[in-house]
Amino acid sequence: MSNFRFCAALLRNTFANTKQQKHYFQNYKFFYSVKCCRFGTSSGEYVISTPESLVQKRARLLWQSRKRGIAENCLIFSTFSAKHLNNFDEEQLESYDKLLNQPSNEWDIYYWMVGTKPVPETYDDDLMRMLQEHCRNERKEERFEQPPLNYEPVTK
Amino acid sequence: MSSGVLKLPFSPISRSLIHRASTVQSIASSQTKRPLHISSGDKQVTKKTQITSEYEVVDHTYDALVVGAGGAGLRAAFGLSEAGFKTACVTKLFPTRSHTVAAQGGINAALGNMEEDEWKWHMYDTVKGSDWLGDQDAIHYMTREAPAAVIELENYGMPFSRTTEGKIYQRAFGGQSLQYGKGGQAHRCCCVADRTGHSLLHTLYGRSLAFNTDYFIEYFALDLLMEEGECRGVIALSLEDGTLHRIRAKNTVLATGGYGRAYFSCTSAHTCTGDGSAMVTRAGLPNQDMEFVQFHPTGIYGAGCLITEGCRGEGGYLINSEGERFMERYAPTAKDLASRDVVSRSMTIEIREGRGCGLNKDHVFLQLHHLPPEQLASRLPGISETAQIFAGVDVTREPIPVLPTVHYNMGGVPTNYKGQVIKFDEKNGQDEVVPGLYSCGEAACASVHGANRLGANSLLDLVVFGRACALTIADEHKPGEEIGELSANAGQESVANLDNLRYANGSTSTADLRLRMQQVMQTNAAVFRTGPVLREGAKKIYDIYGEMSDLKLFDRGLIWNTDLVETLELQNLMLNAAQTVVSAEAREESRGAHAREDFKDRVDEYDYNKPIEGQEKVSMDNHWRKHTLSHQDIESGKVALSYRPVIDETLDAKECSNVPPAIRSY
Repeated sequence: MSNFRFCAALLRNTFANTKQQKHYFQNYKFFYSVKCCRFGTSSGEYVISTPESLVQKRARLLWQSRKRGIAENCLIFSTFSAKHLNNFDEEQLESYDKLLNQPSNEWDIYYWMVGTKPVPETYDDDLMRMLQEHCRNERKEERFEQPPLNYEPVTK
Repeated sequence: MSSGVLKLPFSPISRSLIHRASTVQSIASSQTKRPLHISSGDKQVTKKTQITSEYEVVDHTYDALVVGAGGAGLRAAFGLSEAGFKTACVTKLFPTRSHTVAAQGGINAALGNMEEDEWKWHMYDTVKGSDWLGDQDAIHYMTREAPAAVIELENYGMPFSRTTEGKIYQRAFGGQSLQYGKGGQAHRCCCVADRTGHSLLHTLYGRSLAFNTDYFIEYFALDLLMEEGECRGVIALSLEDGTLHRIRAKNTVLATGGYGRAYFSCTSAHTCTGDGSAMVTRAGLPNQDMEFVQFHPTGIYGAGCLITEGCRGEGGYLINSEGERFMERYAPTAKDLASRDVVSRSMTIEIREGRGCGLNKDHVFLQLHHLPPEQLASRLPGISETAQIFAGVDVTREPIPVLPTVHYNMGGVPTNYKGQVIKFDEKNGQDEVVPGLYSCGEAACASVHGANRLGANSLLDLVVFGRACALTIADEHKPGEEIGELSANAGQESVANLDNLRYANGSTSTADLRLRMQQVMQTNAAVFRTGPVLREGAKKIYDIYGEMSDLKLFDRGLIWNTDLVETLELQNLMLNAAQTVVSAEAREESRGAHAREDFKDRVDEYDYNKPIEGQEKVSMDNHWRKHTLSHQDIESGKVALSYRPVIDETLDAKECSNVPPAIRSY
């Protein structure tokens, strides 16, 4: 019975909504582009297609810095963004956006910042060097909790 | 049910339509930033809501809704879409950023690739590990389905590590034995190098897209929509544009993870805020076994990064503020290599007795600098990094501040072995299914882990019960089935709460209140538990709960309002924290992860130290081998406890006999 349902579903999906289905299949390989057109078309390019004010972008990146998959990255990115995010120019914000949202494995990002694994060319930029310096922590800061919020609210 | 989707280009005209009406049909487009989806026309709710004119509310209808996109959520979402259900998945994080990605261990399954193995031995190990608080039908189900679940993942493309013959490589893990504990260490843990969690997410997310699951990414689920005792969906806030979404669904699956962040030191990401268990509490339903929280003895103070026992194995030791190697007093033979709970309790006692280190005297030190630097670099490389990044400590020169760290929450939303959320009818002593509501993963309490979880059983729990929820829904329901109506003001309280918080103008910041709650939990509801300590904890948590009405937020907006969302998360954490400490205070025994200094023994219906013959069975009121159910009144914060029996019968006694209770010794 479940086989029948499966075939029916497959047929339905194939014919009833081909345009949307194609969208998903196109993006199956580059599934991050499903999130929004931010991260690419079927060619895999990194493209920002929706206008976002800088204030809005910073507010979004702040949320995305504080909420990660592993506690290590939550602390590293929240302390880093508290120091730098409000001063980043557009280019730096784009680079940060890319690092926060493109890689799929949180551990990879951690290992790149800490120096355990080599950084892929696409992320090997000034931002990565800033993060690596932040992780070297030569000033021996204590990072036991996330810092207070200091972002500019988005007013409609 | 037709899955026809109206596609309108993203244009100024369509945009203004959205903003004008208070309830609209959502519009799907490959060009809009966030793919909102229209449901089939005749099921659409288009009536105006009376909620409030300031908040824009969008209604959706689906067959099935999954809240959370971690391992369990994705498995459920994928299973449902594959079975033909129009499925939505609401998640506050992009799926590969769920905390499942942290899992580096593996998945236990009795495949028998390394030696002869049987799932019944795995079942025995799990029941024993749970200290006989686990429900044996759920454990029977999980361990029996484990091999099939792992093979299924392999077929979906998950790249398990292989032996030279090409079979899935399985390694040893704590608590896993052969021959019902008599045959030595078992090798049952299947892994993908050291990134099993990531691989699981990646595989499942990719598969679910092929079946047209609709993802509502960076949407924060606020509350369940309950009508006539049935769950009919969820109301969620879109972080990106501040719109509210009422997602009506015949079947809702909660897979929101644990609540480690209720404590100051936990290994969980800052996203683990117990959202699902809090939603269930606000819906008037109970949570189960909240007092059972698993600790790891050495995590970096506050940051929570685990420091493996290997450090102590290499010669590192713990010291107090007087520089004394205190483990010599607590475990003269084993010293720093005593069992985890002994080490955790010793550390806590030192702190309680005033010999803690640091400004607040609230942690101890792990000393490694007496070891040769080459040994530190080669055997314990990760530690040097984490100590430097988070504690600013050079391990070759200074000691690392450490604390027993929360690692897992055994408690959560009570379900049966099929993943259906249950409540307990005390009058007839029966479990009652809550229609329309399911739960799986760390958020749920099936209960397979009972009083203590075994390593590598957690990922198994995600996959098996995520799948079980999907199978149960597919068995008992059909796509396109009629869903009950939502009242016109469904979700009103959630919006009112949101509005209150948004304009909160008291005197305490969210961060301050959260820190105080976490410190109370760490001091009063952690490893060292006695009656007075827990009662003090309960009182303090109730006081802090009261202060929630005096919060001050600075961001009044609705778009990417981290201040607001972290406050909503704090509300959720508070509920979880209060239920944990109150349940712990009531339970007067030591079982599994819940260890009390004043009640050191397990209190069962028989004294299992002696043969049962001749003993009189103690009534359920007088022993503790039972599940705690905790309800909470949202207004006052007061927790009310009741109890439910442990299920000792397996699904099928002929297939697998149950494991009668015994004293747990390793």
